[in-house]
Amino acid sequence: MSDALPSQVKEPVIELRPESFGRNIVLALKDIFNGFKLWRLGWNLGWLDIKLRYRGSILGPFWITASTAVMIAAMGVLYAFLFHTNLREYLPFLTLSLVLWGYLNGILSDGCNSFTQAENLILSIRLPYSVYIWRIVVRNFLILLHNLLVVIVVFLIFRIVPQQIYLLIPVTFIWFLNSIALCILLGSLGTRFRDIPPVINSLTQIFFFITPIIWKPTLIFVNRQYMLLNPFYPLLEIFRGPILGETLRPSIWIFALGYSLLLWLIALLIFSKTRFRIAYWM
Amino acid sequence: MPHIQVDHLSISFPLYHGSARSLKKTAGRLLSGRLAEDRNHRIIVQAVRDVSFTIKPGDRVGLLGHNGAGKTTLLRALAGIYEPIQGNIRIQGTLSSLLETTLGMNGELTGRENIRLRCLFNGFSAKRTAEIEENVQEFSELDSYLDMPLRTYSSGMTLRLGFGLATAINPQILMMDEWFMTGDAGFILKATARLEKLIQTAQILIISTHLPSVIATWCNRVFWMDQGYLKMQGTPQEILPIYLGKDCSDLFASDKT
Repeated sequence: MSDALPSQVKEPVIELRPESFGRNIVLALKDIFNGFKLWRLGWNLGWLDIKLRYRGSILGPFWITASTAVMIAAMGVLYAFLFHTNLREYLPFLTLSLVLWGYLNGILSDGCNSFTQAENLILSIRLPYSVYIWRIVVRNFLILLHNLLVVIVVFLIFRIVPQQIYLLIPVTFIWFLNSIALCILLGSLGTRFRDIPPVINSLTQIFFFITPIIWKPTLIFVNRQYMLLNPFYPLLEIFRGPILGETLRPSIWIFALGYSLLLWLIALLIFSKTRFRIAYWM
Repeated sequence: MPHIQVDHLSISFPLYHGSARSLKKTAGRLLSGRLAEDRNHRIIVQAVRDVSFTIKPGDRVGLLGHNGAGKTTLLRALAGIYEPIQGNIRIQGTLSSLLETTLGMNGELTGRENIRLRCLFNGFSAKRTAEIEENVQEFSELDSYLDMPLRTYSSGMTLRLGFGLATAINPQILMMDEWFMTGDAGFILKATARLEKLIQTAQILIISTHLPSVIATWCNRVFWMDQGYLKMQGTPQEILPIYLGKDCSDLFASDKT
């Protein structure tokens, strides 16, 4: 298509050879960066996943919204009765928690299959592996957006004004970074060890009950600090607490940031050890 | 100038099944020593073994060999998909590969959507995408089918779309598996014309096949792969008679007509 002489065209050069550990860390970071530059591709792949799943149905992607709304209505009434709390106080809390947990759950279960799901693509075109990570994060972000409608409606019904909105910016950023790290970590491990997806699935079920999602953290009176050992608690709390107008203890912030940092270190380590092997494991 | 350099490349796949060891006992004899143990005592399958070569502009290479000779694995390694654990590869030039019929295409999407998706994969601008869309539309002659989901296509139609798309991108290095030779006579004729035009600009073509006729028609160099080794390389006139074990001047005579 271009009429320029071949010698004038800048030609991409790929050099592939076994690399040292340090070099592999650089390559892993480059992969993440190059995937970031291809964000339009990742965005489209994620969006297509949603679009295709609901193509032909009447509500389309709003089935996501509808099913969440039904679940929250049912659970809200039941648990408000069981916990002897009033609906006005409990339902906004439950809605926000369940929607956020739904996102986390999606990242955890889809993340394990980030690469195995893209087997055909990985074996037919050379792309940064992080493109497939973007796809998962975008897909789950779009689901989250649909579910946010439920949160908005519930907040409107109970006339709840979200507090400390400005905190949403850094917190969303932390969640976003952690989502990527989680997918990288679980995706790499899940490709090599096919037992990872079912293990993660059963673990998330346990965490759904031991993390304050359907019950309020204030229900625990003694040894509350032990809850911080559950990484999902502080990470959930930094998102949920400020919106509901709570002031968080500093320890929650410290643990949330600490867990995030740890997650990234492990993800980067595992990714640099597995990146060049992923295609072989397909 | 596009250029491919491969030095002492070996590609092997680890087997992680629990029964890998007993598998080795039984399958070992069949695969005649292609299973081995690496230094962590894992059982590995050696798909490509100690292969070295250089491909220069103007080369039209045919990878010849039986099923399981390591052709597809080598092609994937050359496309940068399998990063080598032993040996190294240097690829200079833009690359397009037709390794799978599906090409990462999605059956639920329409032909047109698939074209746009493929352009996204390559990071093309909107203008370039529109050009490619038009080009593929013209070549594939799919007309209104281009706006139908891919899963409604016949295999021949998928082939026309895939082939048109891969060749519209105008790469310097084009790699393909032999499946594209399966179209009807009309298609082969059109494809030949298009590919010939492309070869003038693409400079390097690599085809993997087990059909001698494909080699005779398309290639000026042959790599004969056997059991993962590069058994022999040379011109088609040199290699084909040895590969087939008979005189095959008829193959070369027929394609000039």
